[in-house]
Amino acid sequence: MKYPYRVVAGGVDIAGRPTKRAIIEVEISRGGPGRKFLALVDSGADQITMPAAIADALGIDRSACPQRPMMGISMERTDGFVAQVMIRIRPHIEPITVPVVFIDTDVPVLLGQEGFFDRYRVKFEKDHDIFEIVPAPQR
Amino acid sequence: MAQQRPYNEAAYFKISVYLFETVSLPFPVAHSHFSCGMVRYIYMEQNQEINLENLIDRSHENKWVAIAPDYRRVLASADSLGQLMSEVSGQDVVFHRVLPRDVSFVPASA
Repeated sequence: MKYPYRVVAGGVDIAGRPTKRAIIEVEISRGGPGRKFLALVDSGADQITMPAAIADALGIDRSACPQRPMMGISMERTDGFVAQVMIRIRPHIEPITVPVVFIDTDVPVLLGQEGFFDRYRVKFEKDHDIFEIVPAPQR
Repeated sequence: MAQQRPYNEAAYFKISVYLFETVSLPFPVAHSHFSCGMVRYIYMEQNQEINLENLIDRSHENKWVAIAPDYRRVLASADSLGQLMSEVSGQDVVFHRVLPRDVSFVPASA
């Protein structure tokens, strides 16, 4: 399935053109009713990363989860914890269970390499302002 | 109606068949022409219904917003996701973190 890059409200790039990002709608759940989020397809993230508030809303007990420190462009370590959740790319793709690193910041939902790029074949076509996501063949 | 829709190759094929049958365009011509041109344009225009540009304004920057599922309006906003989830508890919404418009975004953990 192909999706258009989304224009970011008011944002412009260095050349002065509207900033566009690879954003899709995902439904996140633990088997019960899901919650919908706009998520950034982020090939530079090692794992799927979400704010810990989502874990709290899903009833995940963080004290029972494995710890996972994260480091971003600021080069500072941030404590995180790992839990399995179900994500479904809306509107059609079947849900998959994936490991997610939850951190206590208001980071957007980031769809990174482990759990997303290794489950879906992602093809960016920025020159056409579209990107394609298809389930990867089972290995 | 305004849900994000996939780029539907099956729809392309159906339209190509329609053109083949009604306008008498040779099928390969109909299919290749419309796959690469008009149908893609129409599809992408429809998909622009998720238009964050018209939905989000400066008052939403650095906040979480709860967007109606048809992407026509912002129902609520808050500084934290937890707070926003409490405000819209039980409603069918799409949550979105609005980044400042005057910065480039590189995901950072802190």
